[in-house]
Order: sequence, then structure tokens, then C-alpha cells
Amino acid sequence: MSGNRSGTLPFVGTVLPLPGQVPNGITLVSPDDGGLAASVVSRWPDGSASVVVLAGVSPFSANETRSLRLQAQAVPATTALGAARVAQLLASVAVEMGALGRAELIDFSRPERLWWANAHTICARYRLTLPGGARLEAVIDVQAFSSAHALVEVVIENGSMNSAAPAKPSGVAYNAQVLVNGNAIGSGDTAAAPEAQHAAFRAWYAAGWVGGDPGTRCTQAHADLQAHPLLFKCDRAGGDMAAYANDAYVPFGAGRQRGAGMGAGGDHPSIGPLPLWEARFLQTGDARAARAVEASALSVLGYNVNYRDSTTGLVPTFEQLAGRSMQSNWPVTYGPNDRMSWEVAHHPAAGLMAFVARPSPVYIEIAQKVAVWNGTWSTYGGTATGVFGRPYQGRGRAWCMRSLGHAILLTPGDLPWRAAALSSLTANVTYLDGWRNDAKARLNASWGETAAIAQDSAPNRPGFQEPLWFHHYLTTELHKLAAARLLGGTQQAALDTLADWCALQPVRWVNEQGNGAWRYVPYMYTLGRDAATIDSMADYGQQSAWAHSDAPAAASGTWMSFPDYKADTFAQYTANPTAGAYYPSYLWAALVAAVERRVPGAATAWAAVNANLVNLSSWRDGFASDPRWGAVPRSN
Amino acid sequence: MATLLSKPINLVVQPASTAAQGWGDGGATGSVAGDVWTPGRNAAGVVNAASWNALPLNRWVQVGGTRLDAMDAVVKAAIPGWNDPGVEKWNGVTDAWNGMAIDPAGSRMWLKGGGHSASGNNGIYRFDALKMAWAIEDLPSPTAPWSTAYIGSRNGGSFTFCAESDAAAKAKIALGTLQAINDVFYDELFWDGKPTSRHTYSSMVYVPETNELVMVCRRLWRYSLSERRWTYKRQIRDQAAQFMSGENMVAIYDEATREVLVSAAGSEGIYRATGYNLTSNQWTNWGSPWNIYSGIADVRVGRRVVIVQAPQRKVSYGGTTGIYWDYDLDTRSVKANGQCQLADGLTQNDFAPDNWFYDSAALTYIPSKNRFWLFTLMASGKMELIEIDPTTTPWTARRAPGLTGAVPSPGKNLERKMVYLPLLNAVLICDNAGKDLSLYRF
Repeated sequence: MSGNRSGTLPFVGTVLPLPGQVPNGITLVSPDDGGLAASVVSRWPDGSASVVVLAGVSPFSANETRSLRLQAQAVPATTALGAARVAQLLASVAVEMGALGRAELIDFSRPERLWWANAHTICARYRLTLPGGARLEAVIDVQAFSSAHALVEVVIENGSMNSAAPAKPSGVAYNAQVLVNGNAIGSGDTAAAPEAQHAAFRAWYAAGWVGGDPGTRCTQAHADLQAHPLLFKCDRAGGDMAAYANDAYVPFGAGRQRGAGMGAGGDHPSIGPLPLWEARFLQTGDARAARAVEASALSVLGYNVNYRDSTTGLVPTFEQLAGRSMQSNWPVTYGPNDRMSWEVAHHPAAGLMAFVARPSPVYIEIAQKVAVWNGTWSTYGGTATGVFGRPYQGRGRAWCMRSLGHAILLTPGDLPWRAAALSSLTANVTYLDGWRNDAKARLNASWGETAAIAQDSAPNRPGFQEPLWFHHYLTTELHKLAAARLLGGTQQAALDTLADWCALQPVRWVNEQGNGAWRYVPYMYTLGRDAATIDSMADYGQQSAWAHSDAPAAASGTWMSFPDYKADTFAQYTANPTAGAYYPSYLWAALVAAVERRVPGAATAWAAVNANLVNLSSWRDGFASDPRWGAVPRSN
Repeated sequence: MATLLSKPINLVVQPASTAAQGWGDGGATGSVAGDVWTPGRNAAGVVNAASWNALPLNRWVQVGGTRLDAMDAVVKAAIPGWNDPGVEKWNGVTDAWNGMAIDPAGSRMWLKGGGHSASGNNGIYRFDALKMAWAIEDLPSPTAPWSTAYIGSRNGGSFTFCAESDAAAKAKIALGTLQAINDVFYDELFWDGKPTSRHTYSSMVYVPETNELVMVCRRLWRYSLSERRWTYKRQIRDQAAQFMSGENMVAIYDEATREVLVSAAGSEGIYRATGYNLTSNQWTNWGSPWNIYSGIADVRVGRRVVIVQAPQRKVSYGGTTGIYWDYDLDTRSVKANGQCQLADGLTQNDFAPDNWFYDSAALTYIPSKNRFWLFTLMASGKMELIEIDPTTTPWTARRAPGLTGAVPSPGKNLERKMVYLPLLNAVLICDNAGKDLSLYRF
């Protein structure tokens, strides 16, 4: 809402109820706004609502912030808006592409799909084939309201393929304008694109309001959101989000994502359970951070992740893509890494928090597209499409699992994409169980390559070197997925078992090193004595003693770290005074997961960490400015 | 009947953060006629989205109603009797080798200029691109108290130098009592202590964390945009005998270290480069890799700074085809450096000869095209827009192709007044106080 905006305005927001919180047959109402209307977008396996869109139309005064309490109530008998409402507000959506020509949609009575509809809003999908001889199309989502407002979102894609016989679209150059009811709402010049043309699998976005932007942002209270199993409770409050106040989407721009070198080494704010700006939105609920979340999620459209099945008009499912990978028979490009190219081991979360910031089918499909890109990148080593196998690295598996979970949560149950993605999740649990069941895994830690193939990360150093922080990434994400209970029955039980097994690693790390060696968290840990067979010792105390020729300075002290391949002595480590994107913080997040999972010994380990870190409070203050790993156990 | 949830859920409906897209949603569309755009604005003075969207893409337009000299009436209304004794008056604010501080995220720019005999106007003027309008950030000093001697700077002197302040400083130097911080110096007005007008080149930067402007020209000056006053002044490296004057200052704000890095060139000032940490208020040691005589233009590109010394026809002082430095602020190292190759018929002889000592080019970067635009002086005596392609080795310079509409033809002292604004995806040029701004929307 701009400073001078007031009047009767629409608002729409997302709520992510916990499993069982809003059972089937129950909806959400508000004692503070009797007109509030809800639509369930997707459900948990028990039938309760997992994603709900709430909309209202209310009088607002300028700059007003309003809190609405929600309550449960049997679904009332109300009449939802229909496609006719869209047609009342929209006369045309046109794309003018210069010499290529013009395409226009004028019939809004027959949407391809209704994403949600209630008494205050309807969200309808349309598509428009564009001129130019390429397989360009405009994917149009309209959110029309009971007030005289409608939000029109247009994604211009060049990725339409028959999944059964896929062929890569050609690139095309143009300078286009998108018009709604004759008024320009945005433009895209492919000269700005990485290839100076609209290359296959890239897309751009334009949006505009009919009736004027109401300027309202409606979000679930961030403290409530932090209870969601796929998210986390933030340890420290955030500061001023002014840095995000001016974030804005630019076609083919990378926003805050890594425009070049997504796979490059070192930290980047996009890396983590959530990108930094999304974590800060979770931390604060600040509308400016929400703005950054949206702008940089939309920037993902500029990456090579956009494809659409020409028969269904939707993002293809893993079932449709069975047996396909980019290295052989799925013609989606990967690389080069110098230009807005996706990469599995460092890729950001995108879609979920943007949908929390503002519900839009664009964000559902961004999450789906990312998950499909990850699942079709490689089947090297004989894994199935949708399984994050041998070349993915441990961290890649963590992020791919996370992104898959986000997409599953958002995807409506009536879309075949969801069932296929759940199968992919199950297959990945089975794949990861290979480590749990392998005799080499004496210390509850996973390693790179495959469960059967252990590859030493530093062959020139004694023993078997492994970045345990990959395992910490995996632990935090598997915990979230298990806690979210996305699966059912034996599949969920297997996921729970796997998550518990992973979470025992940070617990054992602390409890088995009573001399304080747990405070020493290196870049590479000597997980075993043998480069080929790993050959871990029986516990972390023995293993760390084998790897170092001296002893830790004291049982109590600060977090310590070592940034190189292997420290031969504890004396080589240096203090890590502030939490952030660094190895002790990754371990911290994994330990928080273990505490939340209540695995055996977790409480003891948590107490030891709290009792023996002499600067714990000031160290944790680092999570205020960088909350990506700054979780704290929820008392649930 | 409604019941409580097992865990509470609350919705927060709040104003959306709309500052960036920032356009108004009013109905006034203004007009575009003859390559002059007259913006339509809402009641708050913000340009309406409908007006912005009516702009043609990839074409130069003039933005009607954006002459800086329109501020004359505003200043005179606020300060009765105010009269700039400079020979160029408002044009001296823009033209006397003056550049802007830029807030790309806020689509704002600040200009403080004057200097030489051109203008004694020491106000700060802000251009809000979302309003397409000038505003007075800080009024100029009243002229009524000024001495005859200072007013006489118009006769070949410089309004930068205030003899009364200089005398006060020298008296303190003689007594050994002159302080490096917040004391008197020749570059402030004796009557109110504000900085005199001066050639700012690229010496002024915007610091978002503290919402202030920092100017490193003659001395280091800090202006709080929150308090709307000059809050701090300090001798360069705390030594009265050494000042960042000369010519062609380039100030860079490194937000990662909270340092202002500044280089200067020209015929005076031995401290041609230094750093200053805004948090610790300590001078830091920084050396500029482009430590050359003069003639450079600068632009920030993310965490990089790109410096270009414009091509010059070789006569007697070593003219080049244009030297570039691509400087990484994170590593504090030059990632690319070389001499441009000229393409598409452009030759070194097309540029101003090196014995003109030209130091007023402007440089900006257009991310969507991955090209730099350099507006520089040619042998014809007019400025032309040169496009530099950084994707080749060495970088390639050519005349900017396909320019249509009201293509600007600035006077020669453009400096850091050609600005790409990311939220607008457009370039704005502020040439002369007597002209409307030029705009090119991509």
C-alpha cells in the first residue's frame, strides 16, 4: 500500500497450516474479518489442509497494518467466483513482439485451469501461443477479485516440448511488450538475455493490475510460520530490512541469485536451507524482505529451468520423464556456468517462500520446474530419473530433497505432478538408505559418490577425508521432510528412520568427544583411517584422536574451525567467533534437527554445547544478520 | 461455529513495499510528443505507471520540466535576496566539472557543484527519478553576508577558496591549535561553516547504511540526509597541508568494509588515493591502480568498479585508444586492464587530442546489454556516445549504434551525470541546468 492509498481494497495471502490443524471439511475464518474467504490449494496425506489461500475485500486507511486471527469452522455454503468474473474485468491480454507480430487473448470464459476460487478471488490459467515460429507461449494467470481488481501475471516461455519425444526449441530474438486491456504492464528485450536472444528454457515475467495495485501484502505471521515443519524457528530476531526495500524483478536479470557461477565454490547468500533474503523474511515477516523474496524467485525464470509439456500444458511430471536425463535424452541445457545456468549442488530454494509472500501459480510452477531440473540432470550410475544419484554430491542431495519437498507441498493434489514427485521422494529415501545400511557408516555419517563407492576427498592426506557439513545439510533437510509427513505408511516410516539415523551424527559428534574436540569443526574431517574402505573407528572420540597428534585445549571454549583439507593438530584450528555460513553453524543446525527429532542422546549433546561454549550468546548473535542456519529447537 | 485452532494462526495485512517499482497508480498519463515526455504524476508527485509505460523503448526522450534552474525561484523564495555571484550561475552548478552521488536502489541522485568562478551556489540538489523532479536537499548559503572579496571570486578566482576561512585556519596553524576534525579550513564559508561550492567530479557518494552523503574533495565532508545538515569535516589524512583537490576525483563506497575509497589526479595533491573507514573514522591505506594524470570516468558494476580513460588523439602526451581498469572491490585487485580496440570505423584521430587534457567524460553500464556507455569529447569539439563491449579481449569501443529520438548533445563537462538506474532500466543524463534531462528506457 503506498503512502496515500486507502479505500476498499482486496488482499490475498497464503497460510501453511500444520498437519492436522485444519482437517478436511473445516475451513479458516476470522473473527476480525467476517468476510474472509478461504480456498484449500493442497492437503497433507491425512486430508487436512497444507496450503490455504485466504482473500478478503475490506476498507483500509492509508498505511494501515492489520492483524487477523484465524479460527476453524465448518466449510460454509458460499458461492465462489467463476471465470465470468475474469471476463468482467479483462478485455484482452496481448503480447506485441515487434516484427514477429502480435498475439492477443480476448476470451477469458474458458480457462485451462482454476487454481483456486472462493467468494473473493478466483485464480485462472490461460495460455497464448506467440508468433515467431518458435515454441514461444505466454502462460497467463489471472487473480480476479470481488472488488474491481485483477492481477494479471504473464510468463513468456520458450520451452514447450512433447515429453514423449522432446526436441529443444530454437532461440529467437525480439523486443516485446505485454499489454492488459490495452495498457502496457511490462516489456522484455531479449538483447538483455544471456544469449542475446530468448534461448530455449529461459523465461521472463510481466505483471500488472486492472483497477490499480491495491498495495496490500497479506502474510501469515512469521512467528506462526516458524512452526512449520519445512521451515525453522529463528534463533535471533532480525534487524532492519531496508536493504530489500527496492528489490525489483528485471526480465532475464538474476536478482539476488548467482547470475554466473552458481556452481562456484564458497558461500553465496543464495545457498542454504533458504536463501538469505528468504530466511530474513521468515525471521521478520517484513514486507520489504517479502519483496526481495518475490523479485529473486521470479529471477529464477531467467535460468534454464523452464519447460512445459505440450500435451498437458503443465510442467512435466517425473512419470512422464521416466528414463530421461539431460546427458542423453532430455534436451534441456545444463551449463555453461558463466551465465544464469542451474546447478544442483549450490542451487537456491525458490517458490515456497515466494508463495508465502504472495500466492501465485507462477511460484508453484517455479518450484516444480526446479525440482524437475534437478531430477533430470543426471542418471549416471544407473539411478532413475528423479533420484539424486552419484554425481550430485552430498550437498546437492540435500538441496534437491529440499526443493522437491517445497514443490510437493505447494502442488495441488489434483495435479499428477504431485503423485509423481512423491514417488521421487520415496525413491530418494530408498537411495539414501543405502548409506544407513552400509557397514562402512560406523559413525552415522554419509559420504560422497554412492553408498557403495567411497571416494576420499583428499587422497594426499592420511585417512579418509569427508566434508561432514554435506551430511549436516542433509540432516537438516531430511528432518524437515520427515517432520512434514509428506509421505504415508511405511514410506513415511522409512523417511523417519533415515532422518533419525542422520541426526545421530551431530549427537554422537558431541557426546563421544567429551574432551571438547566437538568444538573443532573442520572443512574436511578425517572420517576414517583408510582412503578406500573408510574404516572409521568405533566413535568420534577415538576417530578424532587418531586424526590429530595433540589434544583439544579444553573441554570448554569457543567454536573452532579449520578451513583446509586436514588439520594434523587441534592447535591448527582458529576460533569461529560469530555464527554464520560456516562449518560450526552447519553442525549447529544439524544438532537442532536432532534435538527436534528427539533422537537418543540429543538432549545431552544440546546441554553440553550450551554449557561449554563460553561465548555462545555472542556467537549466536551472528544469526541475527545471517539466519540461514540460525535455527533453535521448537518446543513442540 | 468457529473454534480455536490447535496452534494459533494469525494473518498480517500490511502495506506492500512498493517503493521500488514505486510508480503511482493515478490516471494521469502525461504525454509523449516530439520526443519530449511530460510525465503524468499522482497527487504525491510520483510518476504514474501509466505514464511510464507509455514511454517508447530504446529511444532518447527529453523529460519535460526537469531543468535544474527552475530551482532558482524556490531558492529565492526561501532565502530572500539570495543571488549567486558566479558568472554561470545555475549552469555553473552543473557544468563546472561536477558529478553526482547516486542511490541506484532508491532511484535518486544528488548534485553539488559550482566552483571556479562559475558559481558560488553550494546547495545540494536531489533528483528523484520516480518523480522525475528536482528537489532541494540542502539550501545554498545565504549570499548577503558574503564579503566583497569572496563575491569577487567571479573575477577569475574560485568560489572554492574562502580567504576569510583560510586566514582563520592559518592563524590557528600559527598557534598550533588547528584541529584536523571539525575545524576551520579554506574550503568552508566563513559565515556559516558550510562547504564552499567546488568542482566535485566523482567525489561524492551515497551511503545507505547511514543515510548520508560523503564528499572527499578538498576535505572529507559528511552530510546527513536524515538530519539534513553537514555533520563532519576532516582534513585529508589529518594534515592541513595535504588535501584532495586537484582534478578528477573518483570516490567509491565499499559497503562491505564501510570504506570510502578516493583517488585524485591532476596537477596538485600528493595524496592521490586514500581510504576512509566510516565506522571506525580512521584513514585507511588504499592505492588506486589507475594512478594517472587525469581523464578518467567511473561506474560501479556490482562489487566492481570500472574506470575508463577516454580515448584521445595522440599529439604529444601519449594519447591512447582508451584504457580500462576492471577493479574488484572484494579482492582489491584489477581483474582486467587494457587498451580498447576501436571498431566500426572509429579511429583514435576521431577523439579530442591529448593536449586538450580532457577530463570530463561520463561512463555508465547497462546490465541488460552488458555494455558500457562512454560519453566523451571528440576532435570535433562535440561529445559523442561510445559503446564499449567488455566481452572481447581487449574491450572494443565503437560509436553507440542505433541511437534515435532526441539524442543528447551535452556540453563537454558531463562527469558522473550519466546514470543507469536499475529499477527503471533506463539511462538518465543531466547535462546543463538550462536543459531538461535526457532519458533512454530499455
